[in-house]
Amino acid sequence: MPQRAGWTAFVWALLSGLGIPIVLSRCGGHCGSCGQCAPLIASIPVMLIVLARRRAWSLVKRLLASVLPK
Amino acid sequence: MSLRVFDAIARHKWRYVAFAVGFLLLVEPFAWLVKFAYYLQDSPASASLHKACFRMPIDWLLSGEFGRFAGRPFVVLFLAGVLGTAFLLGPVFCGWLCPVGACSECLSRLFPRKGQLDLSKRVNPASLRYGFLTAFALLALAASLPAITWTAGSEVRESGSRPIATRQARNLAESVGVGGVCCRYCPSSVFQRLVSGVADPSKLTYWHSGAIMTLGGWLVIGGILWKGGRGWCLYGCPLGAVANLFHWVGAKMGLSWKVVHDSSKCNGCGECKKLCPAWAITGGGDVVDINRHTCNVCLECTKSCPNKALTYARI
Repeated sequence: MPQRAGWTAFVWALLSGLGIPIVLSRCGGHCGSCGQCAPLIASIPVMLIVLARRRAWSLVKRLLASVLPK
Repeated sequence: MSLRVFDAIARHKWRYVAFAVGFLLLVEPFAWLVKFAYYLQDSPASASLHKACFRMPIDWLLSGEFGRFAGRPFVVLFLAGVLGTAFLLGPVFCGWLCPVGACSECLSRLFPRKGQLDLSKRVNPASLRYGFLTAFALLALAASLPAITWTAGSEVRESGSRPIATRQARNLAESVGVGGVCCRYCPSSVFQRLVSGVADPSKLTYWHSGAIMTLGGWLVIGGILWKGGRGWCLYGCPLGAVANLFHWVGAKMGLSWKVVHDSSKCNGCGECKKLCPAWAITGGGDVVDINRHTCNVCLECTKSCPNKALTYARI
């Protein structure tokens, strides 16, 4: 594991560890659709896209290669 | 699938006995250890897993409310026991007794390993868990600051009214909201409520959206979908992170018992890497690296190694 990747993971965890409780701090847990958790929920697809972008890009390239004439 | 479960239990039955003991010692309606401690203290307080909270002592420590430790000796002894054993023997509480980690790990074993998440090659588990631990400590520090202001404010309190500065400080603590968030989204708390709800269905009214989110994060993402079922332990649990830090220090000083690898006996089968629930074993072939920052000395690797290349020893 490269050292830089370790620090990136640390900063990610630090920021999300600080951010999530602050985002949820006014949430009583009894969902009345106040929207406090919206940024947190919205961040999940963004995170999944970021994590999956390499795989998605290679899939697009494979599809293009199969469709386009050589 | 079922064979995998029975294999795991047969291979390492004492660990599963320890899981049951941990449940009986800490979780209401049993909570024998907590009840015994409160009986010695002659206190009528209800005994539950919540009494072994890790966050409150940190808040007391940072806010200078040391007197509270005297009123809750069980918490002090519990933490001293968990961290002391982590320093000398490795995080045995996490790997053998913790009912929260045991529950998600056992659940994970019921599902096929093929579809489970394995991020061990993509991210460093140690970096993530210490990142969360740092955030936890910073938030506890932020929440403790108003408590210091409160003490200072009470000294200049006007008769019959609360000074404005104090009221603002209380609001600041609420806006940071670490306490409320920790309890509402703590898997230990949710687990205790779940078990209490089974014993007494009237307590199931607790199941609000926050608790369901926590249950999903801890048992579904960190359990069923997670290779090894220790997602919460690896990335979210502050007590686990501190225990592993103690283990790492103990191992560095040569005082701690730890899992050690003998490459001359290793045949490179990779069984240990496959079975480690804490993603602590890395490397390829007969070169095995054990990460002390995540290893919870469950000893699944030593039990599974066909050549006994992995042992638990103090070297």
